[in-house]
Amino acid sequence: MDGLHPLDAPLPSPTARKPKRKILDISIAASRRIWVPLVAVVMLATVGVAAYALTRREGSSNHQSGPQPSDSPVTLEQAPWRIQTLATGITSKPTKEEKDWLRNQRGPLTALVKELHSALFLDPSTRKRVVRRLFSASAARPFLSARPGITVAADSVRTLWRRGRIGIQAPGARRAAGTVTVVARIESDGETVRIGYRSDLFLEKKRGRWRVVAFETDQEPLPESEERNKASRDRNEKGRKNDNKKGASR
Amino acid sequence: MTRRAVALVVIILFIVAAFPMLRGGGSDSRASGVVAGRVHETFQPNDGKIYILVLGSDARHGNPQRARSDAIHIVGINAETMRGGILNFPRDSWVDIPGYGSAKINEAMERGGPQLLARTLEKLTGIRLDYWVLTGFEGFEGLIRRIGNVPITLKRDIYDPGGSGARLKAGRRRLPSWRALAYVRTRKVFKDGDIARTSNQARFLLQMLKLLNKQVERDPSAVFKWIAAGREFTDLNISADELFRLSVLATQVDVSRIGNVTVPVSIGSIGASSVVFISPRATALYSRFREKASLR
Repeated sequence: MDGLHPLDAPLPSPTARKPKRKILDISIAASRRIWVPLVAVVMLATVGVAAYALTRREGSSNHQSGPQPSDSPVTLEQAPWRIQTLATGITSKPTKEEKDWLRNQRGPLTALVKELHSALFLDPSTRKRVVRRLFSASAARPFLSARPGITVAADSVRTLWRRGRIGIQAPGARRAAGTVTVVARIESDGETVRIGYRSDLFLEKKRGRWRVVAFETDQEPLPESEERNKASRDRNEKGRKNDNKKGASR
Repeated sequence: MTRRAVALVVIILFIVAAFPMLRGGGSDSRASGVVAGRVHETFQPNDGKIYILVLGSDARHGNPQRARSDAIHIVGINAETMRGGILNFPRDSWVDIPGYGSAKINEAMERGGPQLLARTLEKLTGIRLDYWVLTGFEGFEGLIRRIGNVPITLKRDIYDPGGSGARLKAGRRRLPSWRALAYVRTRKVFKDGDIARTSNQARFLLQMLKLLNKQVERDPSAVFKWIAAGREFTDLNISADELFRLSVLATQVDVSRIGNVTVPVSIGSIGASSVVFISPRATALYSRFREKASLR
């Protein structure tokens, strides 16, 4: 098995990390060491207070009614996450250690799913960064080119449904697979679109971190409930007309 | 000099702390680019070809490695094109076994285990095999019991009470473990005997793959049920990681894109035993399979 095997997804090696760089290498005289941290603390406190004041002002502006400026996101109530995790592929009764180990994987897996889908639907500006971090290199590329989630300029995004079901491979708990479904309503230029999204994710735990190594994703616009009702009304009406015709011909 | 350095540090601290505020703060929910409609993307682990030797031993009980192989198939998957193929070898194929001279291909496993059979096939076809998978009668039945009954369409009635014990009616059937075993073992009732059997075995493999895809489509974690069954009932030389990735790859392949081809042979005899001779036409088939890992 020479060379790169087709099943070997390239993972970044620890040596690939950039070494910490010193920004400035300076020496300070002992007599000056007292006031330097003081000045820094005062400056930081000033920055903190200014930031707090600005955040308060922005926060209050979000609660104003009426049209929002196009570049400020609208904070909407999002659907709660419901993620179910379970052990799968059990061949023998798991030991207490195995059970504990499985239980401990729930948190990181749930967090991964939430972070990924928040990036896809609620904070698309972080999409690339998050996907590259949470996916293996070979899975990240096609996932990003598939462009799931919100990829249009939207005025507001509201998730209506967020569910996940993840099965963790019982012996070892180093692999997992699951499905995530999201329904979201997007408002863009006065138009509302509802989209349904489903991803099947296959995950592996390597060097203490869960990563998506394979996926299958599917996303499509859903008919709005009004359109659905109209379509159903039309169908019923058509059915009634046909029945009337049949009745008349008898 | 020192004062200037301190001032520089303070300024840098200030800029670093204030930068998000100066940018306008918060995250931007507007994304660039436009996409509309249906998105469907299939993951490909890497560009490349994978070949797996799938073997069925005639061992009723005990070690399946020390018995003859009644089922010999090379399964190829091209992860780039997501196409594949199953190349079937009748067990009586007369081949050159490295270190043992000419003999029936199924004797290779009895003499040197799956490794020798793999070497024999590598020499014959020029294909470098990545893995082998072997199961016996008990293992095969256990596997089917674990994964569920396999649906298959039978073109004709198969009735072989004296041989495999098959009593199967034509039509769409969901075969439980013992019926599935009878189906893949049946040989005598077919006109071309072992050649039809090897083709049926490959059909059954494709149906199993279809079942895996169906189960995984419903629930991706079903793949672990298959892995667990595979580890329990077959003899694998595949690491847990590779098995997982291989299983995931298998779930992504469309069964209709996998060709099922038996090597062209002619029936003959060597001494008292009947054998099949692989036709020289097979060379072109090997070359195509080697190049594309696909037979469709």
